[in-house]
Amino acid sequence: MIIRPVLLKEPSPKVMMHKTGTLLRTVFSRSWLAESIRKPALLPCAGTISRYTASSSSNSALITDRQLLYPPKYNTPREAWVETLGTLEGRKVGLIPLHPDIFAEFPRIDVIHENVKWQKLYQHVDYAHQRTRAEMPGGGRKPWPQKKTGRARHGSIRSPLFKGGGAAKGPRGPKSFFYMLDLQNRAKGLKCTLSAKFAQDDLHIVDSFESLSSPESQFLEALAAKRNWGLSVLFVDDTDFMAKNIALACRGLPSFTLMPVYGLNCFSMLKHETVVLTTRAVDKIEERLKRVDNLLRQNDPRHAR
Amino acid sequence: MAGAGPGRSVDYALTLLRRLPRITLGNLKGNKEQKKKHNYSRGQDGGSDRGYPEQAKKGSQPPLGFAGGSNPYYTRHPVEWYYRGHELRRQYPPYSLFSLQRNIDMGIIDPAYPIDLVQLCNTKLYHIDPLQRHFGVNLTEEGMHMFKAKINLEVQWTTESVIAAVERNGGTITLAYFDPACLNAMHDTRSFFARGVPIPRRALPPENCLELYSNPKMRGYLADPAAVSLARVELAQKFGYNLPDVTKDPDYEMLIKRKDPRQCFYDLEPGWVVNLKDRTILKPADEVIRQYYRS
Amino acid sequence: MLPLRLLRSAPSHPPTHSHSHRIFQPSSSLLLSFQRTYLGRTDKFKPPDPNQTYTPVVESADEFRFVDRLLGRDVVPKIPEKSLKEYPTPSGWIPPAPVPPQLPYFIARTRFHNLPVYLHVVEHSTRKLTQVAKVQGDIWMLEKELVHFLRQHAFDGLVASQVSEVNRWIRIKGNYVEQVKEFLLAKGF
Repeated sequence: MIIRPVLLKEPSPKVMMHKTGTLLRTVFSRSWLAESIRKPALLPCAGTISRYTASSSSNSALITDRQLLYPPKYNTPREAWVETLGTLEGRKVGLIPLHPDIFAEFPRIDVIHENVKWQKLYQHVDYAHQRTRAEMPGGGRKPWPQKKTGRARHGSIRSPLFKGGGAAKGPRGPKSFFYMLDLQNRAKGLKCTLSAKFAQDDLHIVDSFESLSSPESQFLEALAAKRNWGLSVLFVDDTDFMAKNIALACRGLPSFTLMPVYGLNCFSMLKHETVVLTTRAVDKIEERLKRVDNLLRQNDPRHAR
Repeated sequence: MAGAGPGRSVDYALTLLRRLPRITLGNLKGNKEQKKKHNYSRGQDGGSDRGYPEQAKKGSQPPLGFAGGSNPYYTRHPVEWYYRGHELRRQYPPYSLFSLQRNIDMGIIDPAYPIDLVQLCNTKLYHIDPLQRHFGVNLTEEGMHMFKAKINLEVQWTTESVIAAVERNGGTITLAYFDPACLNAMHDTRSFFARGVPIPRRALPPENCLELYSNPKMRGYLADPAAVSLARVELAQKFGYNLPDVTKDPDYEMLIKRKDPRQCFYDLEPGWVVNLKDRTILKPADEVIRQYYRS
Repeated sequence: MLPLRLLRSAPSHPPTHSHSHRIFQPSSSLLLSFQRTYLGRTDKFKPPDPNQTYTPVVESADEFRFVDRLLGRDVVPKIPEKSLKEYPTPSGWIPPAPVPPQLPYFIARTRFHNLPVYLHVVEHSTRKLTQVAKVQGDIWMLEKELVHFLRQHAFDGLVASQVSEVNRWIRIKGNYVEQVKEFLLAKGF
């Protein structure tokens, strides 16, 4: 059992679930808004790119020069702060543009639902199996003569009519529910989920996981609590070789997951309250998802996997 | 919405999302309608349809074509032999000059290198299936009047007008035959090279099309090059255009590049095995094997 | 585990298993028939002959650059500079305006840089529908302007249209593909 950080200083901006399941709306508190954890507001199309300067007085230069792959010609990029994991509060070390086709995709809940359903279902095997009358033991002999007994006529004690008899139309054998959702649908699901997370302030970008200063799980937990990241955090890096500190810290925390970009999926992003990406992970995600948009042959079976 | 421009509806949706509950696994809902459950006709009278849908498959159905006892349609009429062997004839899926021009304009096909069946199939916009007896590309006349590219083209079937359209712009065109084993390698080069089998030795055309591929008028690859040059001049006179001099062209080397009659791919010899993983080529060193592939 | 056929003779060393291990030594004919039935041919599991040689090869990486040209590409390539400067291209392609027009709506190009205007012909019917897809922004405004523009081309001056706000398309009854493309190109899309 993990001891969660109990009291959050500021109320979470998210709507809190009432016990009976109805949803209550909370009012966004001004003090919380002023904390500038929130990402900059969505820009109108005619605006310039970097409208906001870093509010924190950082001495080092901001990371602002990030070239977007397949730069969007007719949509404005979104912006996100780049934080560090060095201290509990962290510093803002950059303001990078994010591709609108990936981080500002129309949030199609039904596409996300299809992806999550696929993720759950394609691995599912139904092992239910019922024997038919032929497979039941015995039942080869006519239980009693056809006529004159006064009883109903039967040929076998294992027919479906009998108690203990075989199933007439029962489930037969292990049944696989495997299917592959099309590549386009899966890519769209990832884009919609990333956009939804980003819009709801549940997506944070970090310069690198190397910046985590301590391997202690408690430090990471306190860091997440301080930044209102929530109870579960999904850390995504570009490769599966993780920095030592974050690997050790996450090892003791079941609700904090480390994941490379190739493992990114809708289910995990929704399961965890917050998603934290490194800048390299953002680069790789954009590259892979834009590639899917620009494939020559969109329904090539080779690409489906 | 106030303000103009792309992406406004998306912005509106995302702004709305900021004030809505966090999207979680418990919040999702699909859009597709519920699958219609088959209401089996149950009850005392048994219903109107046949019990359950599977019964149609299990129940004894009459054979296909059965006409209730009278002479069925398919036996009434005599057999027509004019289409005999249609399933064995060679097919050439069409590809228009317009498509070719459009693909060159959009950078999908590079006119700086020779264009053959391999390049067309690599665009993923044109496909052939050797198993369906497709023997290559048939270049059609659509777009003949707007065709402006100067290319070295190798196709399997075409007409005189198309040859004129290509040569008018200073390009060259050749009609070349590839046997099914070669076509298997050419139409999907990635799978072929991944198989790790030697590049096949191209066979000569069968008897019934040997004449076509040796005909200089159709720019056959087996024709005498001198006769082909003459035919080019004749065609220019016939259609009434000035034939550009290929020898004076800066791309002369590219335009005269031709495959050997035993060669499938440009610059790769038959018998070679391509190692995609290590990016090397394995060439047979045994003399007998080399003689075979080079003969 | 030892292959079964080697168990025909008694092993020279006792087995080194901790638990008791019974070694069956059935008669040769029974063993062979068992093998043939359940294991297939007995030489299937033979290790490869170390003396067998393969044809000699010469490995070289010089010509591999020719293979790269044969493999093709996966993604749509960039438009050549020539097509962007000299348009309409010979095949009739016109690029979009470099700066998006300041209009309340926007129509993006497809991944092959074409206009998203399609002709749908209803199956087993002569009914034709012209569809403009990928409409962003004020779709109703676009519909109004499009209908107004197409009225001059319509036989009786009537243009029937349908808007799908969620799917972001507009459908016009009839085949007006060329006219719609002309309209959109004039706007700069």
